[in-house]
Amino acid sequence: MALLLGLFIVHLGFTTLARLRRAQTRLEVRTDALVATRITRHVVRRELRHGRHGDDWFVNDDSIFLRAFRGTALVCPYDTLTLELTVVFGGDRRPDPSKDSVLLIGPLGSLEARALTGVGSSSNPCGPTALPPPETWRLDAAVPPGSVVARLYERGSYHLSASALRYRRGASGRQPLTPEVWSASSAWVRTGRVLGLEARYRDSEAGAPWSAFLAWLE
Amino acid sequence: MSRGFTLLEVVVALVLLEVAVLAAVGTLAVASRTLAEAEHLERAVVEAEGALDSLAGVPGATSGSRTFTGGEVDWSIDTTGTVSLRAQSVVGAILFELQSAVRRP
Repeated sequence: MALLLGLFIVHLGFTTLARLRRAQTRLEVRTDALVATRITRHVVRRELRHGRHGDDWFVNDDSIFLRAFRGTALVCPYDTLTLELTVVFGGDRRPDPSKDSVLLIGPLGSLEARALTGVGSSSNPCGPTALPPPETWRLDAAVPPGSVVARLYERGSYHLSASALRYRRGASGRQPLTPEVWSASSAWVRTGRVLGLEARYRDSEAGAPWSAFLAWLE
Repeated sequence: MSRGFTLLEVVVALVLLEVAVLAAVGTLAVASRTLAEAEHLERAVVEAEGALDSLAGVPGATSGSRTFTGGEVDWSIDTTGTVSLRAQSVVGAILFELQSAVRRP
């Protein structure tokens, strides 16, 4: 009798542990799905909001190609006849000459694009001391006279591939930004003037499919 | 030589084990419920943002509602362009309410 009772208790223990493990795994799947959902929607919406369809980004199959906005620099009022520019920059990350380009905006809204070829510190004072320290940007061609603002862009592409949202910076590989939760049927969807996201999870336990607005196609 | 365990010792050990297992089950249940609420909230945010973007992009857009897995989002817009939006779960609990000025095209 005591042996039977002992076996029953052991069986009950193992069954409970197995159920706990299954519940824990399911919880992990749902958590990953929620994380992937938030990141995918937030990142892509934010990137596309900074640009115009056709000019700054376009969609092709599973990819969104774009000039990703990375920050804005105020051009300091120094002689701009050379290839150098003194600026005060604020942005998501430091400028990187290996992959960044610059859009120079004139006082009347004129636009000129340049490649960024070098970045260095500057000893020239520029604006209130509360601003970030000024720096020197070297460009591939002469700076248009009177430029007042420089916007920094990075060429990249977002992909829904291999079960995750991935970002490809320049010519480098596709790096995952989310856990690998998406099924192969997840896709960017163009409906009239709207670019949306139709998302399905690879694991049906992760949750119901959903769709979201991403940007206007105009 | 060991004399083995008494019945009282075994019962105490089992009670302790049960308490530990129940605590683990309880923690998982709370985590699961919290996650479900987060999922509902996320879906509500998706629908709310979609609705606000639609209002900003569609001339003449008016009041409306959308349902999603786990609830509903409804909104109204007045003549000044102020949108009042409310998201609620299927059981009627308010997930969030907001008012926002929308720039019409």
